[in-house]
Amino acid sequence: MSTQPEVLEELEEKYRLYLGIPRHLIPWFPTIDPEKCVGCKECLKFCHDNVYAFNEETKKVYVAHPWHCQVYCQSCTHACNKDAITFPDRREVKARIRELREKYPPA
Amino acid sequence: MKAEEFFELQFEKFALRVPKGYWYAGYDTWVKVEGEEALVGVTDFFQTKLGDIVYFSPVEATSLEQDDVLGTIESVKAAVDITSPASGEVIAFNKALEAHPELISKDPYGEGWLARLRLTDWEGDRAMLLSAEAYFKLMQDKVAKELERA
Repeated sequence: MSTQPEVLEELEEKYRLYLGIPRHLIPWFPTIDPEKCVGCKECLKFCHDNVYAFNEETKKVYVAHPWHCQVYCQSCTHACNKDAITFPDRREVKARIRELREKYPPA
Repeated sequence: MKAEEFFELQFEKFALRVPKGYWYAGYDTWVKVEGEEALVGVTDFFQTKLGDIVYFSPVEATSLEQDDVLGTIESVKAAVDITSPASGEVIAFNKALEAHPELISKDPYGEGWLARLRLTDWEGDRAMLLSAEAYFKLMQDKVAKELERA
């Protein structure tokens, strides 16, 4: 999966920044284990930010819009009863955000 | 709480309050500093989105860093992990929520507090938090986003 949107401008305005930091620089997004995913779509139905989509060929869910994922939200893991969804280490993400905050201070 | 002590936004049938003097995280939790300690909880906006709250399950931890999961709130709609807005040694999780989880909805900034911490990195944490004014602005943006979805 690409870690950068192909064209940043394609990202809707409301998803571009997290507290003034370009969202795509913050490594917070879910990963689905395709071995565990059974394609029940509970995560897709649960997520209000359109992070997930369904692949009609594989019959499994995949992460379509990683940068839509609200930073530190991992509520979809509760919707999945196959433990197929994982998220990055929070402390690593926290360290990265603090680094970025120095480059992108609050207005 | 007196009217001049908070900002307020009307959202559908709800009045969403943001008390002045508290600090806020972008993920809708708050910190009320009391000397070297602090109370933390979820905002009005956050609990309104959840609906009726039925359970709060704190993590088994004696200390937390900012951005760690401090517990899970279950409502009739969903189970949501709560992110700690501050770092500290855990003095207590709110035991009253065991029998009365609805306090989180009824009084999110008062009796619905989730944890009391002895702060260990307040200067570092505060740099990542929002004032009441800034969080109120962010909340307005989030409400606009919710209305777009509807």
